[in-house]
Amino acid sequence: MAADTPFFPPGLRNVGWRYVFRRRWQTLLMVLGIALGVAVMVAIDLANASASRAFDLSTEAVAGRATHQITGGPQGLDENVYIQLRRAGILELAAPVVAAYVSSPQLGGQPLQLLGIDAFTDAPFRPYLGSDRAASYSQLVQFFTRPGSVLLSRGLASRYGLQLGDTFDLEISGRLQPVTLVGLLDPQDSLGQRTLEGVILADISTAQELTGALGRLSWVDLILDQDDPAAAERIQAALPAGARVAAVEARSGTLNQMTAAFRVNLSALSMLALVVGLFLIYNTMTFSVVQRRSLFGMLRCLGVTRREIFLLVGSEALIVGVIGSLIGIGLGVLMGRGTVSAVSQTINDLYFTTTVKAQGIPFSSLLKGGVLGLLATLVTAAPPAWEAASVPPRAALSRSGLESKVRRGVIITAFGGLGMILGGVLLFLLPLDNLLLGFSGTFAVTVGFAMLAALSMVLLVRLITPLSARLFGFLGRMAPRSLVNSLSRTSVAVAALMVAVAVTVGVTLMIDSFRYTVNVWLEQSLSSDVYITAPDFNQAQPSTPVDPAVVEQARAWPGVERLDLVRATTVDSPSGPVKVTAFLNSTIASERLFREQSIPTGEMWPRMLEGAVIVSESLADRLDLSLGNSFALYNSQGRQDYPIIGIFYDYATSEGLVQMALPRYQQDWQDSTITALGLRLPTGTNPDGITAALQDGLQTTQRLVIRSNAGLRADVLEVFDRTFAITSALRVLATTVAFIGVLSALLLLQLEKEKEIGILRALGLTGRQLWRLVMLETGIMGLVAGLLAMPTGYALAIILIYIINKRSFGWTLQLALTPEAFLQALLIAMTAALLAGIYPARKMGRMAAAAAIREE
Amino acid sequence: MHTMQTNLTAKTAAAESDENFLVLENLTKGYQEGGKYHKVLHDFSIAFRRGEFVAVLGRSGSGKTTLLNLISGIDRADSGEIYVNGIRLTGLDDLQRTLYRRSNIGFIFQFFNLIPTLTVWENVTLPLELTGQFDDAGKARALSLLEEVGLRDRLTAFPDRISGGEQQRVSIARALVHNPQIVLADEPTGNLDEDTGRAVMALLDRLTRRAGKNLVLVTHSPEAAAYADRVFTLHDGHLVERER
Repeated sequence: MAADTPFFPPGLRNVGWRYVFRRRWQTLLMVLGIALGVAVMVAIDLANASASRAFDLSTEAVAGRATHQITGGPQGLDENVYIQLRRAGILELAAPVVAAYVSSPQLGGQPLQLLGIDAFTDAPFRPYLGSDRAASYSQLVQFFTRPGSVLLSRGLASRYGLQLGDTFDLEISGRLQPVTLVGLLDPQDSLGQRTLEGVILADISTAQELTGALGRLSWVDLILDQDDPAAAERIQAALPAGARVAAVEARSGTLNQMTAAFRVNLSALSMLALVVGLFLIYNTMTFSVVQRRSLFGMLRCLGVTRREIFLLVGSEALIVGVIGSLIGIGLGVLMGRGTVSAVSQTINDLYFTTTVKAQGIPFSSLLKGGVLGLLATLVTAAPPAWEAASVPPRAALSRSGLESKVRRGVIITAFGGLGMILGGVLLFLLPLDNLLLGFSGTFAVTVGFAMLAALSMVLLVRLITPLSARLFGFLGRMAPRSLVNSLSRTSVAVAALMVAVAVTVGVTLMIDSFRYTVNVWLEQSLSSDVYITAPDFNQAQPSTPVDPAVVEQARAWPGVERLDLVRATTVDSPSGPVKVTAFLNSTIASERLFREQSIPTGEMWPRMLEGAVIVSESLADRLDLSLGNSFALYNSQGRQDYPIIGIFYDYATSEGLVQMALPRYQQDWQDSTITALGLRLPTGTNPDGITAALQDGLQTTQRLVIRSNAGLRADVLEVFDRTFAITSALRVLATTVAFIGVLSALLLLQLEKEKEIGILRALGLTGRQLWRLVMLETGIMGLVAGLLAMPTGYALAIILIYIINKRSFGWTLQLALTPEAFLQALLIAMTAALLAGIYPARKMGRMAAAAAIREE
Repeated sequence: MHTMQTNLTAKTAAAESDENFLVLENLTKGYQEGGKYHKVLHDFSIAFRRGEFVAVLGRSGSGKTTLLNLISGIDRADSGEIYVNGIRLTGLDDLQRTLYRRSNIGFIFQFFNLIPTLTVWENVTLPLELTGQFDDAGKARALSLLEEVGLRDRLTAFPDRISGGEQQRVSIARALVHNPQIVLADEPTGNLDEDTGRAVMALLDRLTRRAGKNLVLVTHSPEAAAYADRVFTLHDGHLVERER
């Protein structure tokens, strides 16, 4: 024979590719499945990449090239410490910084970082400021000499139409302060440009005046010799109690690590959408192979090898995968606009304030989405392609032979499914707190349930048949029998639909449970009637100081029965910065839901006044804290151990927090700042009336946020809803894909039965009976898929709530079973199923029987 | 690509004379039907000469198609041997039999079995592509065959746009284009009207004889069988030659 037979003859390529283009609807469904999956992944990846880069850029903007920082606790560092260390020659490369988050009505109200620096010492730290195009000499003179002078990046200024010499307002701790733009920063490199997008630069004394922190520094940046590990220790030894030197990485690393878990969770959830899309592809590909068994058999007669048939089907998947992935990438970029801001908002709410919006679309995100989409398509298409390659020449195995083979395999497949579920559960039981492992387990359990679909369908159909026979006569017997007799098609379709619908059930239950848990928590923990805080970018835990005059006025306000005070801040610990909330509230313990407590609730407050603390479960789990242990914090005297007497549920932050008594905090940190006030009113008083009166009557220059209990609860819930905004969007997408999946699977199935229906028509089946038969068949499949989706969705919800969420956020959620989630599953499956019946029933009803039964 | 020597035009040392070009030896084949074994072909032996046209008559289910499947290597005998030009077909594995079939067998089916997504030209040239003969000579041969079957002007038509007779003529061209030594025809006129069937048989006879191919025709039709050099009847699993 000729030795130069091509690897994959073009004629064969045509056989496959033209099939793809001829069956436009079938192909469109596959393309849609891939495109939606890839789009979600790309959109989430863009958001994650943007958040990650925003974090890096924000860190770069503030910390620059500093290796270490000297910090001084919640109130900052006395500037004399810096001066003395400088004079003593202990600090070589060091730069003092005063920093605060501010906003400006003239700059869009977005969070901006006010950075006060000492221009003479700062150049080695933030080189992007030292560009020779940064500012002219005259601008620099103004910068140092004129109060309220600031510099902005040229990009930021021009975006908001600000010119040199313009005056604009900065809102700092709720107070508007006028500043003047005296210079424009114009770094030439793009990193510098992006870094400066969120920065307002001022001389350090200007920043002290603006923030009201006269004589205080936020921190001192240091560049220490990496080869001299003792350098930090030498500086630490020279520092007064309460001041600490720590590596920058250690400070920012924890947060980055925490947001990494959040990002992995999002990526993995986005992959769920792809998995749903893949079931759609698998179903359609399998169908197209089953449809063409005789064609493949004939090609095998002509001498086409198994490998060539495999390549033929594989190349079809390749076309569909490429087109779907490309469309998905485009769609993902469009969707990315929404996801980027949603993810940034969530990170701002839960973790830290980012001032930089990362711009541009990283090529790596697009590539990752495209490659994953393509690979996933090819892997999914491999089993159907293998099935095609196994078709014997001339399809010697008859259709009935194929069906009996499939029926024999039902039990084996079901055992395989049980094995997969068991494997998934074992993955969860591994003592590793790994999120990816958790998702692998989820995938295994989902596929396991899908493998049980065929057996469940046979059993369910057996159960349904007597009822449908009673209701619909011979059609009611015929429809279920036909479904079981064509199990090779119907079981795959039902499995695909079931998975798609189950994902929506699982995610819906997770979101419902989350909201339920937060509601219960808010009910318990918000006991005051009116709350007063200063504006803050972090709404979940505001830490902006409230004017002390407000505290005094509130205390004396008519009708106020009791005043609770709160100081929320961040302090250093050996494990990095930790959020601390200190309360003046003797009933605080009864307002917490404890997971564990070492003493009765009633005895907690006196112990807290003596120095005991309670910690949130996410902090306890993250840092491996337990009752009876002490938690070390750095206060103004240095390191001190605080005994832990309770671990409570909290959903305000993912990194967790420590709560203590305010008097004890004030004593240990020498800090009398108050960040929130809780007013308790006599029973029966309308909090809205007092809220309105306070808004009008408090004498202060500070803008305050005064909310009733209900108002605050609504605001907090809004933050939580935002946290799950992306998850909700993913649920909508998964539902859409599921709906399309149900529709396509059933549509294709009915169209394939054209000939069978033609024969029935020739035998005298009326048009009305035909409609009934088709609707019964699709209806039963929808019902079976919907019913199977319920336990599967429930299992998914359990995994998402107790394993995935716990590993992602550190929060324990209470499972809330809402019947709506289950009804929704049945509704999606049934609606799509019945809709899917309309077209084939119409088409076949119109077709002449003779045409349907013609052999060729 | 494939290095296995399966081309029957290149005779091996073991090749038999033209008298014994296709040899079936003690051939037995049956199928499992439910719990019962149903024997279709019973331990029979026969030899065909090179270039011979033989017809096999028989009732439905008598094993005619099974015989073609065994000769083409689609199916394997339960026992016995098949030699084609000295090559022991029964000793080849699945891939080797596929490659043997690709080069040496031309198939004509009752229901034409053209590939619906390929044009007339693409259907005919597919075997050339599979055997690596899709060169100028191969294309010229395809055109000449299409000319002979009267479809030179329908090259770009898809199968569903031409009649049954035309489709069968395309499949004849497809069966011969790659110059196989054996053409297997399974009821080629079974789905055609009388006149068209007669025309197709005449064409098949003319083209295979002229090219010196072996044609094995299985049919119900004594009229179609009349074209053959020898006629056999398959009865109770045995092949019996008819007197002419």
